[in-house]
Amino acid sequence: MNKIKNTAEWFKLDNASKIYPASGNTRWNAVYRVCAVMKERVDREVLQQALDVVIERFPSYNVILRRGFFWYFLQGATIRPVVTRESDYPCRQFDFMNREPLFRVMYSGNRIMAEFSHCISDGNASTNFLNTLILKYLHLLGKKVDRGPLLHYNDAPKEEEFEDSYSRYYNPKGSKTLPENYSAYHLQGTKELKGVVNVTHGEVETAKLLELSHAAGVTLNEYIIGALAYCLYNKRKYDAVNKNSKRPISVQYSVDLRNYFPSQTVRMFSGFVNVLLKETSPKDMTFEEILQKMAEESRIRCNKDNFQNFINSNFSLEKNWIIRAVPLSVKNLIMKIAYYNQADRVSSLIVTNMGRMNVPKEFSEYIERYELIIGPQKYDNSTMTICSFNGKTVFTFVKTIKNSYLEREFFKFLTERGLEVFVNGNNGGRKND
Amino acid sequence: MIDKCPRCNVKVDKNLSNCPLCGSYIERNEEDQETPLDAIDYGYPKVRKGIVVREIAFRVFLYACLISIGICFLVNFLAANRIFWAYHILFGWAVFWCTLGRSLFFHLDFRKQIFWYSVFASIICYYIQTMMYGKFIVTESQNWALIWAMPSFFLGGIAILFIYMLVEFKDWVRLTMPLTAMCLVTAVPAIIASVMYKQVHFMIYICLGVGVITLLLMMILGREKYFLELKKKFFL
Repeated sequence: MNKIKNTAEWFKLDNASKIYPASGNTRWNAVYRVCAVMKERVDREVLQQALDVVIERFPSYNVILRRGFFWYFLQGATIRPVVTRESDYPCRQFDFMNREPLFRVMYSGNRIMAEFSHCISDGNASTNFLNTLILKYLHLLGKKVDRGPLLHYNDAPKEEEFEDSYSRYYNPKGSKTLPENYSAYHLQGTKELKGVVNVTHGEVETAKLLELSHAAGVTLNEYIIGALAYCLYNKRKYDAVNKNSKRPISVQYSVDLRNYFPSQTVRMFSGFVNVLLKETSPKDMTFEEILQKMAEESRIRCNKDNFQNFINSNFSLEKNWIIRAVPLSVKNLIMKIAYYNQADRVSSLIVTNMGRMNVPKEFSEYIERYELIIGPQKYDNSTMTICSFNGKTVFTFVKTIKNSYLEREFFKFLTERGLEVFVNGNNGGRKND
Repeated sequence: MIDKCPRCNVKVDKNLSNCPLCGSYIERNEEDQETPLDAIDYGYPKVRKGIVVREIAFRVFLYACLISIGICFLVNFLAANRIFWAYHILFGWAVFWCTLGRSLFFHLDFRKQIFWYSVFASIICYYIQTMMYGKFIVTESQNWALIWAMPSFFLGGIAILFIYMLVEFKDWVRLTMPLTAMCLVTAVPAIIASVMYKQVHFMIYICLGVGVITLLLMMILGREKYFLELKKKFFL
């Protein structure tokens, strides 16, 4: 459908990515980090060698964002990506204006991490990149690791990997999603200075977590969403009575659309579901009631038809000739308003569940755990991610406020149910400070 | 390696002195203080304070600007019962921000900003001219900003960009769009002059001529690369 053919030299942003540079500004743009904690210290030189090879396999990542008269576009970067030592807060913005490539690879102690702009990829596809990088890194270290389900660094990139899958599955005659028309409750707290991001990880055993969810008769994802809604519900009860405390609780979680629409793209192809807690009675709700309501709502909303409508409604906007002919500066203004109304305003919390990592079994000998960090949102104060690997599940809370209510209550909730939680992060003060 | 927080009942990474959830100090046994070399480092690096300092500096600068503008408007109004000179302060700050301030704060490429510098220099000249004569529309002989200043700045801009292109000829494509914009903007004084005075001064003709020739040169010499750049910039 696209008139401009995707080439390694330059290509259009895919449908869902268009909102990010437009709604972002110089201090906020959608950045996320995928990270693997290795069992041994990371060797920078070897990692650089691995990156030099692997980036040839993923040419759509080493790109810069450029501004056209009507749309932004991506152009292949001419500079070689360099592995740097982590020295800043996670998910630092990319400097669009000075042509910084939209991904970076870093290391620090035992961590190998890659940060991406949502303009070029989503969590699932970029985890493939990280795993291929680790595969090459381990091979260079002389370890014997099978490629398993991973994309191999020696394979040539395929045409399908560059496609905008939203355009492939767009049905012009299909029905469309109606815009959500409510404002959700938001966590309030003392704001950090711009640029400061607080991260807290909590690690638990996956088997015990599964036991809890199975005992409640729901999936793991539903159980966690229920628990988060319960924590938010309790917080809201004790908030001062104001406009915000009267708003409904809604948890938004992202969905990998590849599970519903077959696609090999390494670019963005994800959607989201807003699960609204419907409070039918003025009485206090128990956890079980909240869990049941959230699980029901989640099942209703998380289906292929809804995602098809989501694709149709998003893509129909892009196809509209009037919108296409509007200059980018005007589009940016419209998209900023649209982003506020449809993304951050309607959710109390954004959750991303990466699920279990699909990697070769030998990886468990070299990797301790995976972490995913979604950068702070423009209006929402908190995000949460879930990653499971090697029998451990890591929850990561990212926030731009000083208060730690949500993560404290969530981990308290888990410890009360017999789970042992190990926490770490960047806001607990260093031992030798 | 790991000790528990007494309040939250969670194990806390040994690299941290306080619990990340409640902030409680974690007391550890002496033998636990030594971290074995092969232990997994979950810690985050200590972040340099530059990012925070820059944010504070920006806020101080912004508030100082806003307060100074507010004070100027207030003093002007109280002293003369009308506002006349305070506009110049506002205009000055606006021009400073749109040119140098923006470039310095966002570390923008100076070469790509030449177009904007030329445009704003022309606006400043027109502003000064309006202040001098006390009116916006003046006769052709009085209109030095349109006939001399504007074409001179545009010609200067074209010359500087062209020289940069020659010096950095390997990356010449990068400057094609600012230069194209610079060439196109040379038509503006010609249009204004023809509407206002029904004739065009020779200085404006020279400016327009140089703009057209530069544009043609880029099309002829750049060919595919130039048109590809145009296509990227204007795809629908």
